[in-house]
Amino acid sequence: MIPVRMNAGRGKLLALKTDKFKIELLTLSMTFPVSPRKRSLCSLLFSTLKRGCVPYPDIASLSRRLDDLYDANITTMLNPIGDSISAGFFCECLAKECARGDEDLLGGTLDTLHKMLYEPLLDGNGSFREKTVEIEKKNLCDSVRASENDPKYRAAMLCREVMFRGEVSGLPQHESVERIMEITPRDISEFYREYLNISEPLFVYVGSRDADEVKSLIEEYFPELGGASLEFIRPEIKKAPAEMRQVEEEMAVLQGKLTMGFRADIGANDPDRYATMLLNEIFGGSPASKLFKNVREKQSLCYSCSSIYNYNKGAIFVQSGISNENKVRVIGEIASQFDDIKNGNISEYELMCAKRSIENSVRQSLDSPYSIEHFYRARIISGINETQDDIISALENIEKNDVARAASRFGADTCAFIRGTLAGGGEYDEESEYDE
Amino acid sequence: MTNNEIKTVKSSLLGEEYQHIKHKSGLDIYVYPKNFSTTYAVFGTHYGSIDNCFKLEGDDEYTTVPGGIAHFLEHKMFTNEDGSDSFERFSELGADANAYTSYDKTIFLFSCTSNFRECLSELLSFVTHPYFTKESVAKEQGIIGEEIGMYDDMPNNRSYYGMLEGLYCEHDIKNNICGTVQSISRITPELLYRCHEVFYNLSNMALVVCGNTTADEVISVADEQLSYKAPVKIIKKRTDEPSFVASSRKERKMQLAKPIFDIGIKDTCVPAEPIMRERREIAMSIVLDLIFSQTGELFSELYESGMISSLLHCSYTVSEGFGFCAVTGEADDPDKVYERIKEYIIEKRKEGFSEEDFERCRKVFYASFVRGLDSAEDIAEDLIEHIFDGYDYFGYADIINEISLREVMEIFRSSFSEDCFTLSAVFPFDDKKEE
Repeated sequence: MIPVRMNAGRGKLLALKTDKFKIELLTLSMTFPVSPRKRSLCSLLFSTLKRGCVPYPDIASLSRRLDDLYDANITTMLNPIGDSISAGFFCECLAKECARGDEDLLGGTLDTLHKMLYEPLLDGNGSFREKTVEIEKKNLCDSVRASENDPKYRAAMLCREVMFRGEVSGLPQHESVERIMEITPRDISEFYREYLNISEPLFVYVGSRDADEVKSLIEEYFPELGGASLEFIRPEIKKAPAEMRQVEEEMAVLQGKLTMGFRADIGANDPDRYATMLLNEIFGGSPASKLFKNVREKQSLCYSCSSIYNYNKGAIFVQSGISNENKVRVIGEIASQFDDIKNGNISEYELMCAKRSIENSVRQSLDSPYSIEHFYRARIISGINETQDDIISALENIEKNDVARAASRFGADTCAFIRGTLAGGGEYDEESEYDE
Repeated sequence: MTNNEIKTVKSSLLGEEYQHIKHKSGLDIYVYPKNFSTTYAVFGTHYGSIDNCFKLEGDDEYTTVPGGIAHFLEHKMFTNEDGSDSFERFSELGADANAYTSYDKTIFLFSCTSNFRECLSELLSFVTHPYFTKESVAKEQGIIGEEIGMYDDMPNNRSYYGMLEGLYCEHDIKNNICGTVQSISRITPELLYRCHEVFYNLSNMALVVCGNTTADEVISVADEQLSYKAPVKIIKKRTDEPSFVASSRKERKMQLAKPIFDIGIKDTCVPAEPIMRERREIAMSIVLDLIFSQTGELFSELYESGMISSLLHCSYTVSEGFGFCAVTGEADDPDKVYERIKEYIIEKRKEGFSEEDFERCRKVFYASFVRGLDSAEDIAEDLIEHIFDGYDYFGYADIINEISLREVMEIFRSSFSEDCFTLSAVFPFDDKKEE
């Protein structure tokens, strides 16, 4: 699978030809600086477009059209990448040889997306219909409130808000519920026109067609889409403060949820990025990690305790569900495991496990069209020029002292805890909780 | 048995094939070669959370065990007698390992892109060599206690179990797969050994491998790791379940923003014959899709009027002795949605579905099956499900091809009666709607 890059329409196409899959995937995305308002507008625009278009004027007829194309899928994408957002559509359908019939399924899917994008249902003033927009606004507000009431998600967001205060990444993902309700059909219609030309489109294809054939399809259906190329905004990279900040909220749940953020001035193009990938894996990335072995297995303090690495922000987040009374002990244990890595207490065995684990994940991602697409799209947008093999080769040469050096650039930045106010009884009271 | 018996199973419709090996150890092995980087292996036993009262043929008395023991046993299998942990061993080999327990199955698995032979050896070895001590059992009670707490805080999980409690009066399926903090406190090493001895007999298990491998490679590892054991006949005691539901409505209040609901519809005509169950499963899934998918008029009506705010997720679950449909969603007023859904189903049972909608639905099911063939994980997990259910894996696509609207309507009209419905809803703590 050799990536082929070429211009297509007003944008760029990356085509990855492979006969491995029974489906084809083509994504269309545009990347622009993110803000809570832009994200809410984009989310409302996409959900409104999915409600129908002139040739398929409601959800049922639009869905029937896609089902006739052997259950083709058009789903929306709102991926934050650094301080930008990659917003667009996934078009996925069965490969032609897998379906019974003559219709070109990918062509049919792109034709449907074209109609959704260019023939939306508007009222006499050229605005989206008020009733449709009102329902979508209410649904978006419900989704915002749902996130705020999910203790695990809330702990993660709280940690980010404090850790990245004053930076784009510290802003809430959406406008507040009150501000969303103030958005008008006219606002969405204006954003719709802006979106069509907001930046240079990126098309990524994974499937059995030649790049030239994909380019022809793009130029047939989306010749006018997109505008000028925008420069990718590198997110702010900062060191952690001298002392870790702690923040706590309460929720009516049994189990406390903890998110602990570590931060370093290691950006996406920093030479220590690969060592940081290994650092994260050794710290909490797998069942062989220090967090799994010590916090869960040795001390039975939780069911899950793991870490994830955000390479665009130089941040590592640890998440765990714990009993309230174990909060101090768990924070101390997490910090102590990180210090262990800083002090170079990494065995050859841990380093080897970490390398093999990442190599396995990278190679496994080659078996999914969605993973392949995401790998390349994220790197094109971030300006990182690497393949899956590049990552594996880079990791091979990293040694323990490289990981310890990367760890020493990190500090514990923020700990967010959601205290469960129902804790203490052990379980919900079955008799009093249920009503028939 | 002294030799391995190998049979190739093919689908001319899909252009796919796999090998079924009756291994000399007594284990059924299935090898599905695919041109992927990943190889995915699942080794499972036909034993799950509902199997809490059992005996072997010839035993006088039944053994009754605490709820949650199948899941507990799954957790404990990763610890070995020499003090090593199989999770770590897989990490050392660069593989991802995991395990899960359902109502009637316990599955151990790994996926890897290298060291396949060593990984498969480890899988076959740790699952067949139990080692439990009082200390390790006590330690696991703490970990699983936190797992139970985690699931108890999930409104979706509570709503789903509320639905099962509403559907079933006696059947163990209504109980949490993990058990409760109280029930797992009664688990001992002796009980774990007993369950392992009975249910982890190779005649009650299956191994499925999909990906970058061959039948010869898998057989050679099995030859090294597995020795013959006499097959056992397990007798599972089931309580009689009435045909009506235990309760038509349940609700609880939790920390969440908007009410969620699970509507359950009890299937009281589950066929004993696996082939008939498979047909029924497909027919019921088609019915649910015709009623609840986005292409249907009911979804449009509920969504456009603001009664629901997201997709309605529906599924049909069936196994020997039980079957039910579940419809899940979010709504300001779940009771209103529930009433409208019941009303609509009564209407549709009378008037039926159109041939055009049925044909479209057939296409969707076919495409969904074909999509699954793009993933070693999906193939291996679906195949082992089919094996334990006694279904024919490729037969699924054939049934989709040949099933008629008439047959689907017959099954629809013989089920979904009004006394088979239950609603489980979870409301926010501060919700204005009072019980």
